[in-house]
Amino acid sequence: MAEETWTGSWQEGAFGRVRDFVGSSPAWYENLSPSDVAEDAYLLGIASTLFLRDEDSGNRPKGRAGTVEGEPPGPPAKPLGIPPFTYERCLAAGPEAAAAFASATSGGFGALHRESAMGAGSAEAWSEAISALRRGGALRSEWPSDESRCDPRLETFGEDLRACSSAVMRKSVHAFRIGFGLWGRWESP
Amino acid sequence: MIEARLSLSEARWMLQLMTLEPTPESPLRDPLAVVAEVPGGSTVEAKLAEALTTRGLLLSGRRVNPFVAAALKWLAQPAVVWNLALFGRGGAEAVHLAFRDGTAVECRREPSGLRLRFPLPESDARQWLADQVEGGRRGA
Repeated sequence: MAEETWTGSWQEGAFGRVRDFVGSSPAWYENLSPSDVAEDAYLLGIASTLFLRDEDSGNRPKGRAGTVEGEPPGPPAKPLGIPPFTYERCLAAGPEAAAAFASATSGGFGALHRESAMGAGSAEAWSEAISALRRGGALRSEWPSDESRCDPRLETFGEDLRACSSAVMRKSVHAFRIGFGLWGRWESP
Repeated sequence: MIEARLSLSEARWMLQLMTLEPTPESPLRDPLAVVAEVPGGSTVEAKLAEALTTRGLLLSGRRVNPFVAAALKWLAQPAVVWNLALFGRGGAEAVHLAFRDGTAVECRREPSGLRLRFPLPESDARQWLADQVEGGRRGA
C-alpha cells in the first residue's frame, strides 16, 4: 500500500516563507507594549468618528458632558483655569510687582509660579516676562473657546506632516505584522 | 492664565535651550521624537527665535520665558500624566494633563503643533477630567 503524504501547494509554501520572513512565532500581537495599545485605541477612535451619530450632525441640541438625555440642563460647567493670579498688576516694575514676585517665590501662587519666579531671578525679569507674554497675546483673562483653536496657523517646517506620515507608515507596518501573526492561528491559539 | 502655542520644532528647540530631555512618561516625548535637533547657528534656528520672540515666548538673549520654561518642565518631567482622546464633530483631539506639586499644565495636539494652557489648579483639572470621563461613560 502506497503511503499517502500530503504536501502543500506552492502558494502555501511561498506564503509560509514570507510569513517566516516578516515575523515568526511568537505572534506579534503578544508583544504589544502599552503605548502600542494606547496608540491603536486613539487611531481607532479617530476612525470611529467617521460614523457620527445623528445628534452629532446638529439635528438636536447637544447637552454638555455629564448630562443625561431628558434631564433639565444643569448650571453651566465651571470654567476651568480661573486665573489664580492677576498678571496685569505685574506688568510694570514697582512695589506691587515686587510683592507679587516675593509671594510667588515663596510659593504663594502655586508651584508653577514659584518655578517661573525662581527662573526669572528678579522682580524686574519677572515683570519683563509677563510683559512679553502680554505683548504676544498669550495672557488670557478667561478660558478661551475652542472655536479659536489652530487659528492662526503656526509657521512650521513641515515636521507635523512628516510626523503624521511616519505614524501612518508605522501603524500600517504594525497592522501588517499583526495580520501575519494572526494568520492561520485561529485553530491553535 | 497663559496660553502658548508652539510648533513641534519650536518646542524641540526650547527644550534644547533648556537642556531638558522628556521622560518616558512625558506627553512631549513621542511628538518631538520625530523632529530633528535644531543645529546651532542655522537659519532654522534664527527663524524659530524670531517667531518665538514675536510671541513673547523667548526673551532677549535667547532666554526662554520663565513661565513657558516652567510649563515645558512640567510637561517634560511630569509626576503624573493623564492622556485623553476627546471625540467630537471635529474628529479626535489628544489632550494631556501633566500634574506636579498641585498644579497642572494642559497640552493639546493641534495640526500645527502644541497648545499649552497653564497654570491650572490640580482640583480644577481633576474636576474637568471627572466631567469628561463621566460624559464619555454616559455617551454625552
